[in-house]
Amino acid sequence: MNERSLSNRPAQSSILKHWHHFIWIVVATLLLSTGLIQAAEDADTLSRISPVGIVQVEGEPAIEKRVVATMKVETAEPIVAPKPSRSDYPDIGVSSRAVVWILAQLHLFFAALVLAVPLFVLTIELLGVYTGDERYDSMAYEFMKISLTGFSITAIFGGSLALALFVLYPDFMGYMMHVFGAQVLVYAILFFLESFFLYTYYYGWNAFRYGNLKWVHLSLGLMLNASGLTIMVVANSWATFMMAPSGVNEVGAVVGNIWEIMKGPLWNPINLHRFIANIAFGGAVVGAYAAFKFLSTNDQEKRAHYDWMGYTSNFIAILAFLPLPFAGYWLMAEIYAYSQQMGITAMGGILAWLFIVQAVLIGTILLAGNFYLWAGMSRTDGSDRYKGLIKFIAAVLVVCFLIWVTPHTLILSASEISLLGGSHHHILGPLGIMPAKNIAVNLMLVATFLSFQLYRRSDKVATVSWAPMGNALMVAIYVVAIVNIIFLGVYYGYFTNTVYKVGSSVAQVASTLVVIIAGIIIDTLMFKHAKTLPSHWGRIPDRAQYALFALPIAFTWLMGLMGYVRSSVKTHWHVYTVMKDNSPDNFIPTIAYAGNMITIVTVLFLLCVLFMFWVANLSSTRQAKPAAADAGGVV
Amino acid sequence: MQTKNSSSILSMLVSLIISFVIVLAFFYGLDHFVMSIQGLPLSLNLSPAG
Repeated sequence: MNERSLSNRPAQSSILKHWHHFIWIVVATLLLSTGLIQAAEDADTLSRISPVGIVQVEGEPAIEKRVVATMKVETAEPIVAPKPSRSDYPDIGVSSRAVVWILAQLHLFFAALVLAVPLFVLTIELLGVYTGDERYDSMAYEFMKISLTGFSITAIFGGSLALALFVLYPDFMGYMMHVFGAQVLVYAILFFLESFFLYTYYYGWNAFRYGNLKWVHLSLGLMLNASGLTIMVVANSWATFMMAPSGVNEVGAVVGNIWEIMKGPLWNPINLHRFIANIAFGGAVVGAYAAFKFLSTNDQEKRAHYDWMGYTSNFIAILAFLPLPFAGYWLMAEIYAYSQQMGITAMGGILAWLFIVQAVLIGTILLAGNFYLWAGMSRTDGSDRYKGLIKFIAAVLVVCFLIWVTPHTLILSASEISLLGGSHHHILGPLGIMPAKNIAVNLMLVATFLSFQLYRRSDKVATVSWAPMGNALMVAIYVVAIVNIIFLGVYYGYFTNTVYKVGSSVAQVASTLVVIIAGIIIDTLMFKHAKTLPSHWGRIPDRAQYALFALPIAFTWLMGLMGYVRSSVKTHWHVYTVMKDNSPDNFIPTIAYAGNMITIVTVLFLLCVLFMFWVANLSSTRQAKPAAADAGGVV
Repeated sequence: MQTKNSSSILSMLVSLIISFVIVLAFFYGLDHFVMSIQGLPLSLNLSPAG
């Protein structure tokens, strides 16, 4: 063992240790404060932004125009948004939208993966430092190894996407370059920074492994994440500018600075949603790698390692997934607040059916995640105490899943409507609206957290004197929260006015979050010095690994689907209300067409992921030296 | 032995009742708080106020 190993950390002076912590805190504070100070400065001057163009909801007050800004525009003779005709869009023989769709989605899938993996790799590495358990360090390194090819693939698809956009949508891209200007160069610089930190972080793993150098390595990981996240929020500003432009007037002329252009009403909701979703997605993808490695070996030691890796990946994916619906809720609420028309296009028009497909996919994710946890309970002997509860959790999940996928409006023939006695079924009708679905979603999340909690408790026996009181409190929290979620949904959803119906969904979310937060706090305190029962990594049925394959497939499909919805709410606009799309593809396609496109992209991504895994394996494979008789040189 | 069992059941029951009272009060307050910060006040019986 190296004399400067992690086990010797206590020998370091406490001043030195504090110094390291101080540096970390300073770096993190600087990174956070940059954004917070800017946000605080603008908080009082920024009123809610409404669509700048012609979309005006009937009955709403007229949109105020910024007179000062307009005067400035007149004197400076600004460049307004172009109005390209059909002939201004190059015809390459295939749908330009389809080409950009595939490239953009593949780029986003890989970008999500390579942004997320370093986030939890850094966390796992830090965990390894604090616990002194080198297995964490090895696992973190392996996560980085399998995602390394992903960085190159991301850049390849990103470059291809940029070229395709410039060739196929020249006027639009010209306008975007004019609006964002030098910010695009900042994006390029960030790429250099990310590459620098990526390669030094990955290739320096073993060189900076112990003692002070480990902190240098962790700092490199922190900077890798900082540059990666900055890249994400910069790119998000382009997408949200197209959906909800800010910093420009009604004809698209730039009237604000770059910060006003970036900081549209949807920017932070998208930032948060993508940040959380990326972690869940990244966890799911590396979980599939662990499952594949688990199934492809009979070596018990390796099976134990990949079982642990699969469990950790699933833990990351599901834990990040739990708050995701709330971030999505915030995004949709902001979309409605920005433009009711846009919100109704998403959730009340043709795109509404895709939310039913979304329910199926999220249901699949939750069922697969829960199944994996239940199967994983067989690793510990102490799990017998909780196995009886699994059937009840499964029943809640299935019933809620069925409620969530119930459509409100059925596609019916005249005779079917006549037989039904109306366009809505007397039972399915009430279950098809949001109050029922809100109850279902929240109960599914509570049930999933219960699975998690039972799994985490299965190898422990609490030794604190107040354990019975702690358990009683936890039972009370679950029961009252479930009753409250159902009460809020039924009473305010069906028996009061719409405003209370919408407002009560926030209280439902709060109830779910109370369960999760209280569960974490109570268990942390109650099992602090608990008696640990033996846990046998690798003792899990093979069928559980297929749940780990189901997760990334469902996640990928879901991201493709909801990304399409997010982009399509602009309808026939390149930049909503500012620059019209006059290309041959300026319409929302049929659900079948969209479904096929999303499926094609999902399959392509999964093929690329298989390539990525294969390359990762290749680097650790060494060809055996041929026997002397065969070694005649290369022919 | 039987007395010990009855005492532990009683103690568990008391724990449960106390827990339920505390948690019910907490969620009652939570509903009022979350609705009121959205400008949707509730009356004491949780029906919409006004």
